[in-house]
This record gives sequence, structure tokens and C-alpha cells, in this order.
Amino acid sequence: MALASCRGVYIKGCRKALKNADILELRNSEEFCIALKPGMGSESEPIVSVGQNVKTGSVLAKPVDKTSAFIYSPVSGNISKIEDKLNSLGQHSKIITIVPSAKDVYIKFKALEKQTRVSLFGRLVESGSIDTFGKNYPTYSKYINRGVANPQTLIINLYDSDGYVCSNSAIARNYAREVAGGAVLFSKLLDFKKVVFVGVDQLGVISNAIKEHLLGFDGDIQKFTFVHGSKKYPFDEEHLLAYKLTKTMVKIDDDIASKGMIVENAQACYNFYNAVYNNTPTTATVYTISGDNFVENGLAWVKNGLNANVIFDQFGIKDKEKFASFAIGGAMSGVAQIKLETNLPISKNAIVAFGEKYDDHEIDCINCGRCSAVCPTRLEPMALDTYALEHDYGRGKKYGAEACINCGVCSYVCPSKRNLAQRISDMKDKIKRGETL
Amino acid sequence: MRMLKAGPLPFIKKNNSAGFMLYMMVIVLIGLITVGAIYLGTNIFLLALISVASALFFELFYSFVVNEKLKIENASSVVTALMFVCLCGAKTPLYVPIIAMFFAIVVVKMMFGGYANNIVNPAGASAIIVSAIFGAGSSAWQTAIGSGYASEVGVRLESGNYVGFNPLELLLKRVSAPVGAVLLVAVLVGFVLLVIFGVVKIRVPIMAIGFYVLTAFCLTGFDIVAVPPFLMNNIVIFVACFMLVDFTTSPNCLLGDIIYSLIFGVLCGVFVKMNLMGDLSAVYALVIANLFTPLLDRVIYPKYFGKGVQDEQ
Repeated sequence: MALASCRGVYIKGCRKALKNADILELRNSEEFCIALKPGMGSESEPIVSVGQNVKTGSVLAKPVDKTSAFIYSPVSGNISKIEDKLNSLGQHSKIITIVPSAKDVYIKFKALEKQTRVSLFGRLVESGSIDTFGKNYPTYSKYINRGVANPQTLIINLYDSDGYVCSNSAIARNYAREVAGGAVLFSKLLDFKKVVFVGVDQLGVISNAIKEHLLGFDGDIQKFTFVHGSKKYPFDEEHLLAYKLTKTMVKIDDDIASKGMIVENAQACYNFYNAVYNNTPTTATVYTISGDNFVENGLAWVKNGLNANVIFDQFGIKDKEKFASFAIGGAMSGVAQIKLETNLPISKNAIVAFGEKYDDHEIDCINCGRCSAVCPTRLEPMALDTYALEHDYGRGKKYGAEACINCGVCSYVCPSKRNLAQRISDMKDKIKRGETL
Repeated sequence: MRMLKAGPLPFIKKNNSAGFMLYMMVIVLIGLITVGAIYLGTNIFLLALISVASALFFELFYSFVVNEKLKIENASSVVTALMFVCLCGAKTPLYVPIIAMFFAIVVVKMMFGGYANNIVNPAGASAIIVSAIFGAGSSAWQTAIGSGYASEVGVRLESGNYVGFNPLELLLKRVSAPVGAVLLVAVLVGFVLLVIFGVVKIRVPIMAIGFYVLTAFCLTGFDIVAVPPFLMNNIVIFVACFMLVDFTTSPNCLLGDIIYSLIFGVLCGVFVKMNLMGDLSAVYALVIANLFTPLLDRVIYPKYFGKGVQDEQ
């Protein structure tokens, strides 16, 4: 694995391989299994039944509260099953299985007559866009969950987040018009005073392309700025981004919206643009395919519920018997899979497969302090790990376990191979549930 | 359908391990002992062999007596044994490492919880205990683990006779120092290797030596001529580069490291200038600084992200 580290994780080799990769269109899988709970939010309510024929863009499920989303059919076909089982993120969910037909027929939204704040917000809700950043709630949920007090800054994240995920910069590079248009639509939604695009790789090229298009959407170009972010993972986490750009510190468990800030990413801008200008719902997302067990690393449009086999066929698997880890999401904070035949949700934007097994033999902490040196929220992971092992959640809370963002950098650098991130994350959940002694 | 093993995240880990770090330390210490043997005679290898064998025996013995899982594979006992040999002199009797390893492994290390739980550096503490047994400062002790550095360079530094020290000679020529510190350039090369392989923190030795020189400079009445002989003190540099940087007995954060280095530097400066502890001046300073580490780690806690920010209602 080509790794380099400088206060955290920065994977050079992967980004180099993906720097100028095209975003491929993939063939359909034999079945599409669409989870109605694609992330942390609630499960949407199905409005279709087994045996029913659907078109691309047909509504499959509707939201039941402000943390669930409209879910649309990614293909035309026939609904063969609706069943309760685990989704690829390990959560219980209703899964709709669609057998695609030979011909795709599209359904589109009715065009917006006027772009008012109300009509734009309605379209955002309707778009079915799932936040591939943050907590995988519907994109609209951040505007209504706690409300945006005194909207000030809209941050557009063009980061290649999580060492092995390059989808944001790829979208911004390939779809500069859509990203510019989407950013302007988001800024109109709450009349933000400032819009900051923040990124790392190829920001020069990307910013020139976006600037070209911005004028066509919004005359007030002065409020759009481009900022070079830190290369160190995970400084694209929204609280850290907000702090870096505005010097406003918001507790990790609080919404940055409460301080007038919202973070959107290139994918959300692309989705919103398409929903408003092309009247199409969100049914696909860009995935980064990486890891040493793939013959080729690359980028691809993944339709909601696509079987991962299509990706294995397209990008090639070096050795099916030597799968050390296979995960949906990034290499640092993705969700481990126990089988290869999994279905990909649009709430994630990467798939990683590693054949090389790292040394995971956990030994006693040697007190080297590397975990605290790399922690982006300045925690002392080794002390928190001790509290977690002693079930001393009161001290865990006192020393900031709730400020952990589950980035995994502490476990990454630990020479004793301790599972710090997992235990701290577990303790954080227990503190949330009030299990402090 | 083939099922995969779902390991914990992150799915990649940095290519380093505590074992690798300790084995690197072993290699560098063997290098220093070899340099020492070139100048002091091949009996040093026998000394090292007895020291390592005693350390492993006492670890095995203790684990057997208290029915604890043996953690011998991480080579930490070997590091302690070799580190102790580096503090020995040319004429150190062969039974001394056996006594020293009993104290280092059983008393200082295992009784405090074993691997990575000791409060002070086991090699340093055992050197002090052995020196106490044989009578610190006496000629008996000097032959036991001393080397004569204190009587040669130390006495000159104490008396204020700083003239005649050639920095280049101090760097490249053998001095009457303990086994590991015979040749200053070898000590520095070993340290550079450890830094390159990411085994030790570079900031602690640099700050510690800085504070030590500053203290000595003050104690000599701001005599600039005194700086090179104090700075190029083989034993202090060996202790700062190899023993002070021990992860277990050094603090975790920058502020902790600064205070820790300051304690070591000031004490070391005073001990060396006054020639209070002979060859073991730097080791005494190290062990005293080690005692502050648990306190520093407890008191200095970085302000984490969001601390003090009011809860949103």
C-alpha cells in the first residue's frame, strides 16, 4: 500500500491513480436491491408492491419524517421482492428488489415555474438526494432538523475525503457546470452571505472551471471564494471545516447549522442541479473504486442498489481468495462487508478492497503518544481507551469522548495495533445512552 | 457464497509496530556495544550475553511465579539488558548484570505491571541500585559499573578547567565513557537511525540537551568556552537520545515533553557541573524526570475540540 503520513493519513498512490480517471457508466446488474433505510436516518415507507412495473425515476418510497427521503427507482423493471433484511451497512431495512427490463423509460419531475425559496426547498426534498457526507441523512434534513439560525456561510466541500475517496474532486472536475449551478441553488435556498468552495487536489483547475460557470447562474460572484484546505485526513469533517474557515467552534454533537453554516459537497450540488434544471431525481452517485485487490482503481456512476459484482467485473479482482478487507465507504471509516455479493447504496461513495493483511495483533499500549499527536479533535485516545476498557464512562465523558469523530486515525497510527477508534466509538454511544457511572 | 472476515476499521494501518521499534532499538544498541567492544575488549560481548540471558530468565521466572502471560516476543527485556550494558564499564564484573537485571526486570518492571507499565527506566534505575549497593562514588563502584569518565572529564568540568577540549576530538575520539557512549559519533549515528525509522521522538533529546547546556552555561558563570565540553558529554547525549525517549516513561504531549526535558536538563546540568553522581549523573537526572511523567500525563490534558463551548439548546 502506498501510504504516507503527516499528522494523519494521506494516501498518495491512490489519488495519483485516480487524479484524471474518467467516471465510467456501468452495466446494470441482474437485480437491484434498494434499501429503504440507506443511512443513519429513518426508513422510508414503500408505496409500491411486488409484481408492479416501475420506470426509471418512479417513486418507490416516501419519507415518513424529516430524517427519511424519497427513494426512486434507478432502472425500469419489475419489482420481484420487498423484504426485511440487513442492508449493506448492517442495519435492518426493507429492501425492494427490482429486476431491470431491457429498455429504460424515464419519469421526470414537472419543471419548476419559478425559483423561489419555497419551490427550491420543495424540489430539494423531492430530489431524494442522500447526503454522502456526514451522517447519511437526506440532504434536506440539515436545513430543517434544527433550523439554520442566521444563515451566514455555505461551505461546498470538494475534498477527496477519507484517504481513498476521490469522488468529490472528480465530480467537480467533470461536472463543473452542475456543481456551480447546484452551489448557487443552495445559496439561494437560505440566501447565504458567503459561499466557500474548499478542496485540496486540483483546486486550481476545478476553481477556474467553476468560476466560468458561476457567472451564468449568479451575478454576485463576490460572495463565492475558493480555499485550499489541509491535506491531512480528516480535516474535511464538517465541524473541523467550519472551524477552519470561520473560526467558529461547534461541539461535535451539535449541528453547525445552529451557527449559520451548512456544508454541502459536489455530489449534493450535482443532484440539486439535476433536480431543478433537468427535473431528474437522484438515483445514482459517483463511487471511488480503490484498494490493492482491484486490478484497476477508478471512478464509476453507481445506481442505487447495484450489485457489487458489476464493479468486480469492470475493475477486476486480483485474488478472490485473498480478501483481507472489503468495505463500502472509505478505507478509514467504511463499513466492513462479510460477503462479496452486496448491494451499493447511494448514501456511500466508495468501495475498497484490500488483499494485503496488515498486522492486527493487538498488544499492550506502549504509551508512545502517537494517537494523541494525530487526533484531529485533540483527544487522548489512549487514555479514553483505558476508560472504555474499565467501563469508566463518566471519565470518558469528562475527557471528551463525545468529541470523537470516528475518523480512525488513532487506530491507523497505533504501533501496538490497538482498536482505539472502535472502543472510543462504543463508549461514545454508551455515554449518549446515559450509561455514565 | 463465500463469507469474508469483517475486520475492524480502519481497513488500512500504518506500516509500523511496537515490535519493529523495539527490534530497531536492539539493533542500534548492539551496534553501540560492538563499538564499545572494539575499544574496551571483547569481554563486553560476554557481559551483554549474560545481561540478556539474565533479563530473559527473570522475565520467564516472574511470569511463571505469578502465572502471567509471557510477553517475551516484544524484546523489551532485551532492550533493558542491552541498555544496562551500555552503562557498564570495561571492567564491570560478570555477576553485576545478573544483580542489575533482577532489579530491572522483577522490581522496576514486572512489579509495576510489566511491559509498558514501569514508572522509571528499568536500565537506569537498576544502574542506580547497583551503584548504591557497591557504594556510589567509591572505587569499588567505579570498577563495577563506572568507566572513569567522571574522574577524567567530570573532574575537569567540576573544577572549571574547560581549556583544551577540542570539539572535533570529542566527537570522533574515544573517551573513557561507559560501553555505549565510548564514541560520541557512534551514539549520534545510532540516534539518527532511530529517528529515520520513526522509533523515537526527536524533540525530547534536543530540548533536554538544550536545557542541560543552558543550565551548565549559567552555572559556569556564562562562560562560552564551557559550552563545547558540556554539550559534547557522551554520557548525557547517550542518556538523552536512548533512555530519555523511552515511550513508557516520557509524557505524551508537547507541553509535557517540554517540562520533562526541562527537569532532566536542569538536574543533569547541576549534577554534571557539581560532579555529584559521577558517571551516573545523567542517569540520576533521567530517573528523577521519569518520576514526574505520570503526574505530567495526568495534569496536562489538551483542550479537546468543543471543550468549553456551550451546549446548543
